[in-house]
Amino acid sequence: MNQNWEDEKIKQLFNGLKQEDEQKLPSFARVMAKAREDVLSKNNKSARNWLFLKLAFASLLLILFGGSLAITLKHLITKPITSVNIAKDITYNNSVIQSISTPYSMASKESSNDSKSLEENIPKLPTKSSNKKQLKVRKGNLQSKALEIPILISGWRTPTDFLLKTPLQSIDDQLLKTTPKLKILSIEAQSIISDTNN
Amino acid sequence: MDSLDLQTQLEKHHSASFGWAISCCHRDFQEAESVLQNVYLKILEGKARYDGKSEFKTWLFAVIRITALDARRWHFLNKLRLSKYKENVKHKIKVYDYDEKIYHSEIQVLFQDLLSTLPSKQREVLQLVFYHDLSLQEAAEVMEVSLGTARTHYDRGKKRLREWIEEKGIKINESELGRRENQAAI
Repeated sequence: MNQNWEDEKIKQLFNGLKQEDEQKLPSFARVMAKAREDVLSKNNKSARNWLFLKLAFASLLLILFGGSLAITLKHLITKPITSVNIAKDITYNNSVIQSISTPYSMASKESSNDSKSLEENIPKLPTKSSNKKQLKVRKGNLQSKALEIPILISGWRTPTDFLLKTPLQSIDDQLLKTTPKLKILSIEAQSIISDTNN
Repeated sequence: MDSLDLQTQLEKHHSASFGWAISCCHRDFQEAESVLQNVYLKILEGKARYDGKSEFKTWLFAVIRITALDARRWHFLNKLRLSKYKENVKHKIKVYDYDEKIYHSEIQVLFQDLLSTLPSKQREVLQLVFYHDLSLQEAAEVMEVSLGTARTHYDRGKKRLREWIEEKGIKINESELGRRENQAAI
């Protein structure tokens, strides 16, 4: 009985709370309308997101296609590696190797009283652009360039040709052609060298 | 259940849903309305579906409870980020409470204070049983706990309320209650 009375008391307290809440109850239609608005706006937003994603994907595909097309066209326009190009490349490399200063070549230049400095003698390496220019040959020039092959072959020299030559040709000849003598004085040898120089 | 039936059911339980949402939102009316709106949104979108395993009211209350918990978590994170505005918010709440105390009966304000001090599970079970007239089994379903756990929370909560009533010596003014009931009937 006592418990029932307490339950009743609690119930009454909650009823007071209920009445207070009901005073602030928003209408069902209003809450539902807001919810519907939210549904519509959410749908619109998701539709917009989908459109954006589709556009992004399409643009990505377009970029990829354009890039691949550009690369393909570039390959078609530029000439592929041919015998002419290879021959030209070889001659170019030869000229570079030949012009590289070695201790022997430097000594020979010094001996011939060349006024050029050492720095000037060092060959300049080809730049990217010049290399590209040399490698790229237009299709129209193919025939005229093909004629160069025999000339290039005839003018070809081995890259290690300079190793066979000594810096001081005349002295070397003398030394090589004459038989070496034992117990020769260094002073005499120097005099021979100075004579030849003069 | 088609959308028309669903809407009819929602309208039928709208008042009770709002009361439960208020309780879940710690007596914050604006938040409760927002939570209720989100619940309707979930139901309209089909994110929350009634499978008919329990009573519609029980299912709806469970959805409201989960949505309110989500909202509270979100608000908590927002508060962490906007901690510098916290003082202003507190000040506003204080003024609001003071105004409320003027216009409402002292007992009700004290009772609300007591409810706010109760652990959430005890408050929930008491609210569901005494406010929404649900059975303990239904309350357990809404709270997603076992019947035994719900009963324990109910007993502890009721004990706390009993002690409080005895301590304060609160006597329910029956004439006032009668007047309120008449007003409600009108």
